[in-house]
Amino acid sequence: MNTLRSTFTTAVLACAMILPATNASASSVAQKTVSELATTSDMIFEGQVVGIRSETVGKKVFTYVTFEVADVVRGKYAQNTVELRYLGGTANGVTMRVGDMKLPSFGERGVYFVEKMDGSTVHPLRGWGQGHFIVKPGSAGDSMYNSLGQAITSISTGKTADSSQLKINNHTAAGVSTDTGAKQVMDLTSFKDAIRGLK
Amino acid sequence: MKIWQAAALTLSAAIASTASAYQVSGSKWEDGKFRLYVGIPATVPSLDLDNNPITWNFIVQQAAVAWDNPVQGLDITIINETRNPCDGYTGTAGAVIGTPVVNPNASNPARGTTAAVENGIGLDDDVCGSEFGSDVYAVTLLRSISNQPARYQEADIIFNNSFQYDIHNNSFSSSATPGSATTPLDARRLAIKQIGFALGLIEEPNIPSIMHPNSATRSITNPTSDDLQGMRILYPNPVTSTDPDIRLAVEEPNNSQIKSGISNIRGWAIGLKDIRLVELSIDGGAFQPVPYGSVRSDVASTFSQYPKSGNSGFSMIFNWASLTNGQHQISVRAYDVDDNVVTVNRSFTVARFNDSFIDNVNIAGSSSISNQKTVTLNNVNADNVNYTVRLEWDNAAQKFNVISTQAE
Repeated sequence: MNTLRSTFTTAVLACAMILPATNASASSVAQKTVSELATTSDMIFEGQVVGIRSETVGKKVFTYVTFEVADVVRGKYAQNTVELRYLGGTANGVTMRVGDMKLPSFGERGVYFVEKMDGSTVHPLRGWGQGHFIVKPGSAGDSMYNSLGQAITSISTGKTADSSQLKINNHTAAGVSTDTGAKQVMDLTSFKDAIRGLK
Repeated sequence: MKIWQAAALTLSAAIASTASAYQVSGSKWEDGKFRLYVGIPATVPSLDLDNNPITWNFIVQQAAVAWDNPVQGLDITIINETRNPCDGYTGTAGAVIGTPVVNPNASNPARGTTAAVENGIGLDDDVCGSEFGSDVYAVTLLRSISNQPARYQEADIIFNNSFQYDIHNNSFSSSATPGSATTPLDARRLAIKQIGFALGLIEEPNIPSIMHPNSATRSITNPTSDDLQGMRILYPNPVTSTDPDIRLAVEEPNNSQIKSGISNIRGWAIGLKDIRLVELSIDGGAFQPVPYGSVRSDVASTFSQYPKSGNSGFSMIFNWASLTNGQHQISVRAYDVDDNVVTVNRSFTVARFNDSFIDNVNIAGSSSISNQKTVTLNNVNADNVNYTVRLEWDNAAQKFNVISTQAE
């Protein structure tokens, strides 16, 4: 048990790392640049979740999330609401999980990169979690976070420093800088301006 | 660099390199039994870019073995038969939702009934009727009954056949397009990761592992010790007749160890029944309870058959100088809820100054003699008494310890 003896401190550190998850992570999605995500999305909008319902079709469970559209950041969309379909959810006593699928919660405000408006994809957002941004009120106004709740500090057209190797199943697009403990969080207006300017 | 700085850095490095990071979904397969139907025709996609064709069946079987062999509590059965992972997912004629489903791990699940469930794996250009979406290589669909969310009922894995795959250990730069004809994706790593998902692990972003976001594009080709540690937490080792009711380890002080200053008394205790008390006595004195229940993922990984082994640590800060110079004995004992008890005794030696707590030290007038592992300091003034102090490097603790103090 020498190994056990020598790894006491390791075990203490490990205590914070064994975290129960709330949603399964079981997909393999390539990390893309935020520029690529923005330019290949059907529509990007700022909105708020005003409705969530799930239903079954055969063995499949679909969850439909309705957003009130506050601002169309890229693309064209004239209606006040939009409904996005996610594969997975809980309905009729069955839970179906599709990996990495973090559904927006009721009342959530965010900026959403819609891959296809026709609802044909497993996940409606481009790059799955990479195209899902959350708006939270802050002392200096609305602030931007990624779908994991990490504060966004900047948007660039290039790669972030840790993107020298391509990642699969990543929640943050290359070019989106995050910092969990950041004091200067990117505000909503600057974020949308940056997204509009991406080529 | 000063010695203490080097020691501190060494300790930091050791911690960083061995920290655990695995994460679990919260659901798993009952009794660790997982049956997977693997019958993917070898002809798609082509795996012959290196002129060494390997079938998908073989890849998936090897991926399953990579988890099954090192994790005693897992029992993966591979069945070489083709099953459409989308059985029942397409159209409206599938399984009846909301009724009990047949456990896919039971023997001979009845395929004739719509409620039968089998875990399948396959290649397709969509996910049971829904498009993969851009840049999605594989998806695992996981089903559980809502009133039993901790138990998976079905897992189906679908690889996107619009990408090119091969077997290799290459890494990709961020500018590469894995899955293209020139840079095919390594199917083996992808399969290991997807089966890891199906068994209950989720992606962990902290240290290199097969469940890390980079795993399929960098040269980690098998589950790492961290991945396996997570899997053993999900699927503990089976209890055997040789497992004692209680295991108790006292890691500090060790037998014959020389103790000085202030440090921990520590170790771990695990029981087939819950441990209710860990207590200690020094030199035959009264037993005192020791705080118990700190995280020990290393113990859990080795002795996963013991419930709550992941929270089995005990420790308390102790001032060794509260004891006299010379040899002492510590007894630690652990009780389970049935009052089974195990005792471990350790002998150790204390090296201390005259005062039990030194406020002022002056080594300005001292000289030192060194050999391979020890440093002897003469004329060390501690609270106005001069000592000859010997320090010795302790590998386990990664620091110098005082091993003797001799008043001059």
